Amino acid sequence: MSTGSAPLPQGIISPGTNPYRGSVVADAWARFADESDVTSIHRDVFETCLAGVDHARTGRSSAGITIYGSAGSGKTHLIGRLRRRLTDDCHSPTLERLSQAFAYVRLNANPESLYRHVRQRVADDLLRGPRRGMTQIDRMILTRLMDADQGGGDLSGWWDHALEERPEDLPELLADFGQTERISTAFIQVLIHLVSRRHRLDVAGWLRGDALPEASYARLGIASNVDDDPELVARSVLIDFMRLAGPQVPLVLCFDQVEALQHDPRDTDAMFRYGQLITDLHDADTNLVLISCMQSSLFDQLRQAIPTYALERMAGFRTSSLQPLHGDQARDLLRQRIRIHGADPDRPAGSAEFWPLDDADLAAIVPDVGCTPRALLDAAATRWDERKRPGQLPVEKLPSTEDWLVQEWERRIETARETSPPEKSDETLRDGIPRLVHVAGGGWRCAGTTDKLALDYVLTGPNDEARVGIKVCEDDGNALASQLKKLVALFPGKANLQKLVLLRDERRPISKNAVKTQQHLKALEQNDAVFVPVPPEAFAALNSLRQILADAAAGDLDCHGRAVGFDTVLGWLRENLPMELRELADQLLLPGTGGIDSSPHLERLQTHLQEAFVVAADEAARALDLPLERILSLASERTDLFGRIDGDRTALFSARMGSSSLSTASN
Amino acid sequence: MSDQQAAVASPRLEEMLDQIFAAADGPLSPRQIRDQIPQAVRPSEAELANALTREGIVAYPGRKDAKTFLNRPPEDLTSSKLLARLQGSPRTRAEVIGAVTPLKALAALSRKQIEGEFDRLVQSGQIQKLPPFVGARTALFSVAPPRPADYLQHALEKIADKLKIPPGELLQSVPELVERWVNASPSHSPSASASSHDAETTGISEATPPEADIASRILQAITEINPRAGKGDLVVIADLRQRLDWQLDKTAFDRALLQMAADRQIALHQFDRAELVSSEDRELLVTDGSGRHFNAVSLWRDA
Repeated sequence: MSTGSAPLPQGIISPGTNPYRGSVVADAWARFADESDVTSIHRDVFETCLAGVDHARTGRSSAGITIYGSAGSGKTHLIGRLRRRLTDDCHSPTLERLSQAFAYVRLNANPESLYRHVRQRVADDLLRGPRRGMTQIDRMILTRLMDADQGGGDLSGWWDHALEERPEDLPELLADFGQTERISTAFIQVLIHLVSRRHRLDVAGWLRGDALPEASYARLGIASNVDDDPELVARSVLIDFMRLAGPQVPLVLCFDQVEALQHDPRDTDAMFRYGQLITDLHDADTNLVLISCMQSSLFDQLRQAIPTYALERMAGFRTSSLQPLHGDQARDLLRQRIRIHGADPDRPAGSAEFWPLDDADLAAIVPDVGCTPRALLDAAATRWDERKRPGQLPVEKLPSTEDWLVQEWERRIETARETSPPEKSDETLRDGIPRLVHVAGGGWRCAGTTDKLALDYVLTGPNDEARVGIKVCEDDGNALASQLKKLVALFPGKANLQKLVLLRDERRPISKNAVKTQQHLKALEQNDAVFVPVPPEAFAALNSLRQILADAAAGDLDCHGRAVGFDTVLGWLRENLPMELRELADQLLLPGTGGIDSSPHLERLQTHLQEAFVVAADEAARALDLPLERILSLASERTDLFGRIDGDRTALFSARMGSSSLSTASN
Repeated sequence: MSDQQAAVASPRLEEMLDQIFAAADGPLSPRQIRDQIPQAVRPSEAELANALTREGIVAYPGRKDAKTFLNRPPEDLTSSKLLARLQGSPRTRAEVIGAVTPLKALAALSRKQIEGEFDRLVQSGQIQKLPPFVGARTALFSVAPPRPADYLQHALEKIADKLKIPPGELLQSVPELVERWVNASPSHSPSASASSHDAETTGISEATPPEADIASRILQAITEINPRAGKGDLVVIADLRQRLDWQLDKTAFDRALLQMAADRQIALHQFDRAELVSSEDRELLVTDGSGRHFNAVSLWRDA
C-alpha cells in the first residue's frame, strides 16, 4: 500500500526527496519498517506482548492479546517490531535453541477457509529463516530432537554430528518423538524429508496446504486427504505445528487487519467466525500467543458479534490500545525519518532541526488531541512539499479520489501480475469469488456450504430467484477426482441448483492422463455444468480487488492523507469493474454458459506442451489430430500462454509452467 | 418379521415415531429412537431405516457423519433451539445466536439464516426485547416479560463487586432501604424517575458543574465502566454518555473529552467508519470540528 507514492524501499532513498512520504506498512516482514521504527512509540503495548510470550512459555495456558488502534496508528508497524524481536534476538540463530516462533497472519481471507489461510501463513513464516539459512521450523525440529536425544552444546554442532555419525537413526528419532507428542504420522513423514533436505518444494507445498499432484504425495510417501474436510485437515496441521513447538516454545501468531475478513463492514458473521477460530486455537494447546490487531472502530461491533467466551480468549491476557502521538513522540518519529533519509543537500548551515519545517509547522501538524503516526507523516509530507517546492503540489492540484483510485488500481494490477502465481490460485478464488459477487452481484448473496469437498459456495439471487453452485477445482489427482465424483452424484438431481460453475486456473490444465477426473468432468458438463478456465488476467484483477477492499476495510487506503472508505471503493469498483472480472462475474451469475469460451483445443494444446515442453507445431498438430492452421492460430491468439519460435519449422512452447511442472523439474 | 407383518406394523411404527419426535428437543440417532420403542414391538434396524425415509422426516448431520432424524425442518428446529436457550435468564442476541449456531443439527443453516429466524421470532413476539441491565448498553432478549429480580440480581452483583463484599451481605441492607423509601418524601420514593437516582450515583447534578469537576466525573465513570481502561482497554463513548446519564449536552461533553485528550488524561480513538453509520449513531460519537470522529476512549498511559 502507498500514500500517493509507494513506500520507500531500503536503499533507493535519495537525498532531497520528501523524507515523510510512505507511511503505510503493508507487511510485518517489510524491512523498511525496521529502519523507521521508533521504539519509544507504543512501548507499553510492545512489552505487554512480550509478557504474553513469557506467560505462554510457562506452559500454563495460551495467551490472548487484543490490540486496538485507529487506522494508521501503527498496528502493523508494532507487529514488525515484535517480529524483529522474536525471530532475530540472538547473535547466532543457527547455534541456539529456538526460544519462540513467530508468524504473521494478515486476514485478507475468506471466513469460510480461515483455517486453511492460517495454516498457509504459519507454514510460510516458519519456513523463513532470519539469516544464514536455518529456518524457524528447522530450529524448531532440531531443538526438539536435541532434547529428545538428550544432546548438548549448540544446535548446528549437534546436528552436524548426528548427520555424520548416525544419519540412519534420525528418522527413528523423529518417529519416536512424533509418537510421544501425538503428532500425526503424515506430518512426521514430511518433517523427515525436511531435515533430510529432500523434496523441499513438495514439503513446503504440503506444509502450506497447496494443491499437490499425486506424484508429490508419492515422493513424500503419504496419502492425500481425499475425503477429509479441508478445514479440518488444516486445523489438524496447525495443532501438529503447536505440538512440534512444544510447551516451552511459544508459537506467536499475530493476526492483522481482522476487519479485512468482513466482505462488508456491516458483516458480523466474519467476526463471529474469527472468535470461533481464536477460541479453538486457544484451547487446543498451551503454547500459543494469539495477538489480534484491529481497528478501534470495530470495538463495539466486535462485542456485539462475538460471544463472551470468545472475547475472553481473545483478550484473556490483556486488551490494549495504541495511543495517539503528542509532541515528543511526534518529533522522535520525524527525526527518525530524517536520519534514515540522510542529509538533505539543500539544507542551509545552521538551520533548524526539521528544516524546511519550523516550530509553527510542527505545532500545526500535531492536533491538540494527538494524531496517528500516519496522519503525522502525511501532514508533514504535505507541509514539506509546500515549504520545499512552493507551488509544485498545491492542495487543490492533488488528484481527486476517483483519479487516485484509477492510478492505484493500475499500480495494484501491475503488482498483482507479478505476484499471482498458480500456487496461490486456490486462495485467490476462495476469497475473491465472494468479494466479486458482492461487488458485481446486484443483490446476489454468497454463502459457504457444509460439504466443502463437494461445493465451495452457493450463490443465491435476489428474492431467492436462483441458486448457483461454485466449485473451486484447484486440487489435483485423486483429491479432485473424488470431489468431482461427489458432485456427479449431487448435480443436477439433489443439489437444488439452477447452475453449477467449476473454476480452475487456466495455467493448470487438467492432465489428459487424469482419466477419472476427465470422466467426471465430462459427465458434469453433459448435465450443463460450466467449466471455466480462469485466465491469469482475471487472477491479477481478482487479487487487486481483494487487496484494495481489504485495505479499505482496514482503513489502510490513504490518498494523500485522506482515508478512502470502504463504501467509496465499493462504489468505484461497481462503476469501473474491469472487463476480466465482469466476464468472470457473468460466468457465475448469468444463466447459461455465456462469456469465456473454454475451448477444448486450447486445453489440449496446453496439456501437450506441459508434457512435451518444446515441440514443433506440425508435430503438435499430428499428436492432437488438429489442423496445423488451428494450432498456429491458437498460439498467435494466446501469446500469454504459448511462445513460438519461427523458422523452417515453427516450434511452440508453454509460456507458463504450473507448479506441478516446477515441482517435477526440481525434485 | 415377515413382509406381511412389517406391512401391518408400519402404521404403528409411524405413530410411535411421531410420539418420540414430539417429545424430542432435537434430532435423534436411530439407536436413540429404537431404545425408546418397547422391546416387544421394536423394529429391526432395516425396518427403522425404511420408516425414517418417509416424507416429513428430516435427516440431520450427527456425530462422526452418522445421520440423526426429526420430523421437523431445520427452520422449526432453529426456533425451538432459540426459544429453549431463552427459557432461563435473559440473554443478549449474540449470546443466544452464538450458542445455537455451532449445533451440529443446525449445520445446514448459515448464521445469517439463524439470525433471520431470531429476528422473526422477535417480530412475532415469541421473543421479547428487554431493556439492557443497569450500566450496560446491549439489549436483552427473553421469552418472558422482564423480571425485576434479574435486573436487581445483576445490579447487586455489580455493587457487591465494586464494594468487594459478598452479594449476601448486601441483602442485609434491604430492610433499611425499604424503611428509607417508606419514610421518604414522594420525590425520593422508588417511583421517582430512575434518572434522578442514577444521577445521584454518578454525582452529576442538574446544574452544569465546573470543568475540573466534569473531568473527574468522566474519569471515574470510565473506570467504573471498565476497570482495565487504565491499561489501555477501551470504553465506548456512547456507553460513557449513558453512564453520565446524558446530563451533559453533546457540545459540553465533546468539549470536555477533547480537552481531556489534549491534557493527556485520556486517549481518544478515532472512528474510521463514520460514513457507514446512521446520523443518530454519529451523534453519539465525539467530533473535533475538523471532520474527525472518535468512538472510544481509554485512560492515558505514560510511556
